[in-house]
Amino acid sequence: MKPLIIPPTEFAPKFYFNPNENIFEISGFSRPEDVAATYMPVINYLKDYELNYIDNTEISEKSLTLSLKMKYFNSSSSKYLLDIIIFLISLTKKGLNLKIEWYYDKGDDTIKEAGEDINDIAEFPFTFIEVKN
Amino acid sequence: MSTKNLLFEHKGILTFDKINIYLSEIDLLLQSYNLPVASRKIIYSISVECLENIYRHFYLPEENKLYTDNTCIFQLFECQNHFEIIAANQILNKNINNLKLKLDNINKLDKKGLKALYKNTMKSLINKNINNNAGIGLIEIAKLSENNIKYEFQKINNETSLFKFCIYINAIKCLTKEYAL
Repeated sequence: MKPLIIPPTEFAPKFYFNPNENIFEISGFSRPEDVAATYMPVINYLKDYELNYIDNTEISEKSLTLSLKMKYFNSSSSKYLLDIIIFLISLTKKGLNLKIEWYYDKGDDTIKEAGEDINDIAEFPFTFIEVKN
Repeated sequence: MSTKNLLFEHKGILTFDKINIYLSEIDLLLQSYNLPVASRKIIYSISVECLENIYRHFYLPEENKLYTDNTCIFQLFECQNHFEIIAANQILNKNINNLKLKLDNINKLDKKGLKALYKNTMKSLINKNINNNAGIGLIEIAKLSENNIKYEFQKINNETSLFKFCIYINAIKCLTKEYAL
């Protein structure tokens, strides 16, 4: 399946979704004016990923690491980040071995606590990784 | 003698481009204070939510051009032991009761209650297509500031009022938190 690679802009994060490497990564800054327009292509890609990769491949071990390396995101973006997480968690019922990593800079309690809140809502294990500056 | 020092102010129509310029300026301003990362991020995040709340919800009827300066207000103050943000935008009077209910509900909650409200609101929005913060912004502001959102509605005419709210951000508390790491 073709990867989804969307470079970052001043207000939107970088999306690097590569099923061939079993890595989906979202990183950077998220405060777009039109948050739906920013995240809907990614949500649609995940639907294709379910149909074309999870449902239609013979690979016995379907693994994926979702890495969230956010520097900042506003409250509207948090809703869409949660949608992505919840969607991928739903695929674990179809055999996806999912790992979720939440990165935060040392001393950045805001991003760490935002991750803990989303972790609490998602009810799925997150690995929290502190990045030393 | 007042110890309240106005650091940044906007009055008038707010656009997305202006918000971007203002946030860069606020970020630079906060860096000049040599605050710890945690404190800076809290003030920055609350500024984003306040500015976006004003931008997404302000109401400007044609006949209200007289009130343009009061259409959107954003002020950041440095006080003795805390920072303070005042934000205001015009809203329709018919929307006051609903907004007042939301704010009163937020203000009666402690930290644990706010987390539960945030969790329930976020869960209710899963897979829904939204293009504003759909009520999460005010909860986020209260969560980050760990203080009540003080607010008032100043009547302009029979159709509109100025919705004004004030956020206290305790920088000392943020400092303590940082040093405890």
